[in-house]
Amino acid sequence: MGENLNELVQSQAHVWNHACKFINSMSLKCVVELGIPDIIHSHGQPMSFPSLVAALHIEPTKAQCLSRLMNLLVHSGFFTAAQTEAHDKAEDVKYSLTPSSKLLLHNSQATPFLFLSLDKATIASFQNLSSWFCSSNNNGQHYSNAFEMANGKLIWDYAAQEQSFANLFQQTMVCDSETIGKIVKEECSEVFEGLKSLVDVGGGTGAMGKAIVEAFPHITCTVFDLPQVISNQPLQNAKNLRFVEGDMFEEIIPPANAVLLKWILHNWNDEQSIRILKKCRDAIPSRDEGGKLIIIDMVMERKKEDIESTETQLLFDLLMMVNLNGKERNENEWKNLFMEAGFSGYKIISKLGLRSLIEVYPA
Amino acid sequence: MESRNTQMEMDGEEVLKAQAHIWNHIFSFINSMALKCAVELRIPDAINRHGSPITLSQLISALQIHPQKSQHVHRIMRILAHSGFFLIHNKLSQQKDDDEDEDEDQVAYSLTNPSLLLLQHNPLTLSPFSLFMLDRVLIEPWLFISAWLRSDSDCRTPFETAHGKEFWEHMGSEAKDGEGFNAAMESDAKLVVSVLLEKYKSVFEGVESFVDVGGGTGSVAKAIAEAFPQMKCVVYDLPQVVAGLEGNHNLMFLQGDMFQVIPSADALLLKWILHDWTDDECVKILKKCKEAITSNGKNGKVIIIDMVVGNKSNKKNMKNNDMLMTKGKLFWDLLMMVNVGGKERDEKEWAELFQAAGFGAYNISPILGLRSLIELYP
Repeated sequence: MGENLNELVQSQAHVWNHACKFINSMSLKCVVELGIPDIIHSHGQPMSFPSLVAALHIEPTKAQCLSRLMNLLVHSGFFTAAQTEAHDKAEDVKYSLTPSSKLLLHNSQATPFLFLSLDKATIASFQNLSSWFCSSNNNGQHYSNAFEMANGKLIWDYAAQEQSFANLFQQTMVCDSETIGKIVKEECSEVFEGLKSLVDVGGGTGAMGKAIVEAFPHITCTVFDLPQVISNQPLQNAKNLRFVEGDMFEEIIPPANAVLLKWILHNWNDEQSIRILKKCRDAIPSRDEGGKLIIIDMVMERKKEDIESTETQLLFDLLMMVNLNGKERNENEWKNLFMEAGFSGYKIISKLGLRSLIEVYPA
Repeated sequence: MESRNTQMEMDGEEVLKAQAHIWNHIFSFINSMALKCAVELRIPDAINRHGSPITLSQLISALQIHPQKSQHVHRIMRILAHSGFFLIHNKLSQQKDDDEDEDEDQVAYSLTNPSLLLLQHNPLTLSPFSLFMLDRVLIEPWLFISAWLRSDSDCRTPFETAHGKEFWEHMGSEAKDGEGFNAAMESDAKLVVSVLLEKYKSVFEGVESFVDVGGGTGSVAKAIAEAFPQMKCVVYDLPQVVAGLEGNHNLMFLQGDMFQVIPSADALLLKWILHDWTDDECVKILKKCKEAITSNGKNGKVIIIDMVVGNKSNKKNMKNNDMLMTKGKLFWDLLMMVNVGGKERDEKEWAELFQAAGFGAYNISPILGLRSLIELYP
């Protein structure tokens, strides 16, 4: 019985821990909202707790709450806390940034993505998940995902109405493109060697295109996206970069040596993805003539031994399910898409962290 | 541009590592939401009723999932399997086939210890607890923490900022939420008392009268009254909680406010009470407790069940389990801060409370997982 009781309290702790995991996300969002990474960064040296309280203008009665919030984030590796005196009073702690909080500075890589993923519209969609699974219809019309059920419209229509949401979405893509552009240059330059032209399908405001023409001056890049995405943008004056308006499902994709699909296909279901892939195939020359597709997206189950990465990929998959009709795919699922769309081979290059770069070759 | 420069000081590999870490934390809430979804759909019960590992298609039909959505069920199942709630059995089929549609019946799921605790009819079920914790009412306040920290309003908690009322007032006036809270506490009480009576029955030796202060609907007192038929047991809580509840020959429900007076007894229980309150409020409650156990010339004791936050140990030396325990306690501390304005305390903080309330000796036994049992003497 003693052993069973131990198991019982262990299991209870396990359930509690999962029921509480949302606190990780909410606390992280809170410290970034408060601008704590920026405050510590501009302090220029490890920052004492009283200085942090003063910089934030927090009432003294609430100061201890801030220290408790910081405790969790120190534990999760977003800050370090050094004790300055031998006796450990909360006031004697000095906080510094870690690589993770450096990416959460204002205007920095991960910040817009954090606010986008933890927007109230997304949280509301997850609250609705079980009712969405069982729901049959909405006046004969089917809710295609939990986002639509919770917010009354699809995410793209929601973004069209909520400017702040649309801005977050766009900033997320820009920040990610700047980072990935830099890493692609460092790690995967061979992929772009020998290319003269590239079309970035769903390339948004051209951040990735710009990063590519700067990193690889021999390439001319066409950014292809919907008119409402492209026409709202101030013109990018980068050399070798041009914009073409169009719908990747309906219209002809401008021809080029290669097509880039960054963070596109995971937004769409298999049938839609195959349609996109076929359109892309029509835009490039044969394999012998150097034609290829360059996909940047997750390939699940590549690093099974890395528990945290596996978890993140599985969670990302649910985000795609709830907010869109998309999914994250394993190698086999990718291969099926490529074959269905008439491609003849592919190569996966896992050098982009949780994501991979996939070269796909036509016949 | 300054911040981008900071980012540029890191090399590509460092940036990707940090990005992966951030994403994991951004998406962490989805773990909780997937759990909530599984409990609402009663997936553990469906697997249990099946009696043996259930295939995906059997599960889909048992859950009455809409056909348009059945293709997504395995996605919920695989994250929950990854987090230890289900086991996945891959059936080896005779002919290997890569076709996706054939896969449905090659995967089967069974329960694990944590999901056994999510069964509806398990007397120790944690499903009401999980549903309450992840209800909108308790998620909403988390969206207000930074606003609350910055504001000079006298709202006591982000909960009050979000809902316009303090937690206790809200639970007293909103029937559905109040029931959710009581159900959550009741299921926990059953689990705690079963561990207590199995492992630590001696704590009640020589006790003739017992009051469960803030005892809610009485799950703990009922079990104790049953185990000790000679003991006089009282459940003491607010009128809105205990009104209309009936006791028996050695169990009684009493209405009252622990800040005003506490009925006298040999032993008082404060299970999961003090972490709801500030230090000043705790000292008030403890002083009332001391009066209650020392009246009539007696020398009783107070039994506290709550967390004792560990001393700051070096993270690198911590074992994996300790890390989880520490994380659990940090989570609970913030839960208390956001919802009720209470906190989790380390041993030093507990000792200060006991001293301020005029108690002498205490003894801590870490027997309840994240929580400990503290015996406190005048």
